[in-house]
Amino acid sequence: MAVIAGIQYPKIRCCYGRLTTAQVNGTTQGGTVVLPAQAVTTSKATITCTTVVNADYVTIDGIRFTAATTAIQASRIFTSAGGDAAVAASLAACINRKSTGLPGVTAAVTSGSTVTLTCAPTHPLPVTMTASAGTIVCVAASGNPNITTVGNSRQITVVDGWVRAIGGAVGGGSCTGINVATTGGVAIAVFIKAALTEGAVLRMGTATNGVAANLNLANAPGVGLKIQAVGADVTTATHLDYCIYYTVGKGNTAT
Amino acid sequence: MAIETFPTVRTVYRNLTVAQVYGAGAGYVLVPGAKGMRYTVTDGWVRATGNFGNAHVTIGDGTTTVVTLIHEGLTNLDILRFGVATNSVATELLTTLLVNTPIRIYSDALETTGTRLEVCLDYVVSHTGGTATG
Repeated sequence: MAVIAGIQYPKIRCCYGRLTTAQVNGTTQGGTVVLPAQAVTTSKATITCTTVVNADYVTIDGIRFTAATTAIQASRIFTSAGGDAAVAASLAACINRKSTGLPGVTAAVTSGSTVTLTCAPTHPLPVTMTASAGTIVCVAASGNPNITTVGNSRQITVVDGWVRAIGGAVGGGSCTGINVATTGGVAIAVFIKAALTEGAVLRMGTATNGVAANLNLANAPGVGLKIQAVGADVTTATHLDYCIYYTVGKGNTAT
Repeated sequence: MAIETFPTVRTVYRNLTVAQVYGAGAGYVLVPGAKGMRYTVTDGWVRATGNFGNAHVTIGDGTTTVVTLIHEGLTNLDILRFGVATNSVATELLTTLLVNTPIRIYSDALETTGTRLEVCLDYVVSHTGGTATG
């Protein structure tokens, strides 16, 4: 990420190459992944509740959750009754409550008395955690009470690109063209068969034949890119050259 | 290859006079050669000032012609993108060029009607071993 006059500009990267027609077709037009998805790893922490009593609390990102005999989620009060598992479940419910919980952080009881917190891929870090007493213990992956470890949550944004047919025009009776799509199947740019003549560079967004509705759309973390035939297998052309320009955004940016 | 290890795209832009490009022995170095480095042109365009009437112009490393721009496509102020049918033959787009070799724009012929040529070239750099650079 370059910074010029205080403004951050992402690097533009280029994924390019030549696919065979068989690769473009894949298995029943499943196509071929040209830019692999990267597994999303999220930032996590655990809160362990052991013999919690009334007035014990945990404060996460400045929001305090306090134990009392009776849970009142709207007031960020979780129960201290019913044993450790019940306490953990009540705390998790408070944290997850949409109106008064923690935005961008999801809590789940992963074992009896342990609540696991998971940050959304774009949630700013660190997430600070403090607890009132030894009955509540907060531990993050980084080994301290704060979530600081940045997860892997890269997001791809396609900003430009082109394709061209090699060895002949793109043919195929029911084939309507070529897609550059996410590995999840969302079309970013559609190249219409009529313009995929041999050797002609067809750019994303070219009127009529290079429909690129999702250009400049940040894809979800963990999503890659693939190139695939649409409608039916490509015939006649032997290869397809492709060139995709993209930027990489980062979630979980440390603040 | 991870998404952040694909090469960074670099861009060079020049506004050149006809004399810098056209004529026997003429030619302009758009990207200087660098030891152990190879270039791959990924895209680009040119724009003429004046209607070019005489000769084609070539971009390449002297051995590989990345793109030949036909003078009929070099009309006043029109952007001519690489690989556009008929007037911009870019067969070797995405071909990795020779190591240590600059990317040049040149024409051995003389041009008498056009006056300037703007060039915008996108390229990536790789080491001799083929490793992309960030």
